[in-house]
Amino acid sequence: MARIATVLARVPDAQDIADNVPANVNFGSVADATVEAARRIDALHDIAERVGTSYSPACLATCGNALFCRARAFRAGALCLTGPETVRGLPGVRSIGRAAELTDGAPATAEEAPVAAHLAKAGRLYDAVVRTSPASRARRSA
Amino acid sequence: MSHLDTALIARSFRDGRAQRTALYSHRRLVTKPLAISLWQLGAEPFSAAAMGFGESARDLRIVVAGDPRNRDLAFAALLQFARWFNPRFETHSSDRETVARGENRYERARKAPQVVVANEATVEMLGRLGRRLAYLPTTGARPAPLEVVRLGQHLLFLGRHASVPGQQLVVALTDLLRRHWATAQAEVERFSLAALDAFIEPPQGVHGFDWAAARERDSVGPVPSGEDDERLEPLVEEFNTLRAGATDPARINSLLPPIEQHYRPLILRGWELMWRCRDREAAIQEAPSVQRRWEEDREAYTAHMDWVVRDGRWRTRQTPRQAAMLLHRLEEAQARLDAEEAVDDPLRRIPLILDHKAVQGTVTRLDRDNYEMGARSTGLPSAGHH
Repeated sequence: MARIATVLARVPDAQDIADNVPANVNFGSVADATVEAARRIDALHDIAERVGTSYSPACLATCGNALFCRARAFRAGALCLTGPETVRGLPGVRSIGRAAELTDGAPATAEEAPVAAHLAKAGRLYDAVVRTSPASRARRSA
Repeated sequence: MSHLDTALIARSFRDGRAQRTALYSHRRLVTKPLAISLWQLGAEPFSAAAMGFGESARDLRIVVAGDPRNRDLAFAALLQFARWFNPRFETHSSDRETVARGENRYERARKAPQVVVANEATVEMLGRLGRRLAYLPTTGARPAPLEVVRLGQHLLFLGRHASVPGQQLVVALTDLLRRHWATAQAEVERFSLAALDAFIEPPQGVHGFDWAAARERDSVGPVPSGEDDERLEPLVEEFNTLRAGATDPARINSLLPPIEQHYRPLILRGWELMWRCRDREAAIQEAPSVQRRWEEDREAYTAHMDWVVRDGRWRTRQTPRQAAMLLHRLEEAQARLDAEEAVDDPLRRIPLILDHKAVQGTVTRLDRDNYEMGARSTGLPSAGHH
């Protein structure tokens, strides 16, 4: 019971959320079917810019807006695009693109340093194998 | 998830296409597999509404049941499938070799069939069909056709065997691709064959993400998309009205074409995708240990065929002892598979090196007289390396 009470106590209050929404943010222009589609999508992007999104792949199963948030996560190179494992695996790294740079041995900031060493080593070992192995281009003769 | 996985996901994101996680192919792909595409009706998971099958990309046969909720109609369609599947599945059983292992001698088939399907969901459906059909009575008031029961026994075997790590009698292409390619996709997205394929081979200049987003809605079965099912519903209703309770093939066959025309493009779309993915992987050189696992698969196939000939049955619920032994066998197979892949493939070794479970270097000196003694002795002479 204590556990359930703790969980329930953490459920955010609807009024608090409503109070935190910036003034004049609403879905009016997004929901207006008389406006052309591109303008409505722009309006949705505008809301997302100001309020933020909280995409995770689990959204794909339940939310009609998941593809919109996923596309935004992709454009931003956000770690959440590929799921919580990637987020946990890249502490201190700000984007997936940055993680790719670190696999090539890019100089790391102090925050990135712990994971950067592993990524650089993984990238170095991978490149060494792919570069030297004849099997990487081998095709079965039959 | 290892640091290598994370690194390759990041590079896949940057390059816009998938990255290989293995130099070799760690599963055998035989030249003439039995490819199967299954579709269920809505959320009815125990009967096949439509089936596509063949042994090459150009050889596709399609069978539809009409309304698979009707047992006679479902079995009539399954009977056609069984008449194609059973002889091809059973043909390798008679050609055997004798294997000597220590004191023991036993027989095993020289070849084994391989079933190729689009995804794990289809493998599960094969297992469910097997569970439904394998033990039906073939005598009495409502006998099931003998071939359908035999089909059920084979499918039940395949469904069970599919859980053996590294087995190759049933190849689910999503599983095969996921094990050989890293993509900047969430795990749930990697269960779609269309999305995986899109990331592996996007058109020139198109990012895999965009190409996958455009194609991921293409269902390849067995669960139909909501839109497809909505288009099908009036066709099935009309079919049921016209047949007026009849189930005899002479009457039914003339009523099936509209439903077949509904399924044909769906099956064709998945069929083309399946074979393209399969052929791309088959072009990659096979890892050496695949041969040993294929021998194990042939042994399992031989044992199954011998059991079926004797009309053998399996318990539907395992005893605790059976369950424990099965779990032990599966864990051993998994450990052995991991070890074999790491020994065969330098890319599969990288996660072990990163975890300090393996070392990399050149052997410079071998001391043949110096053995590690004791219970944990490896039986290997000690080597120096740098």
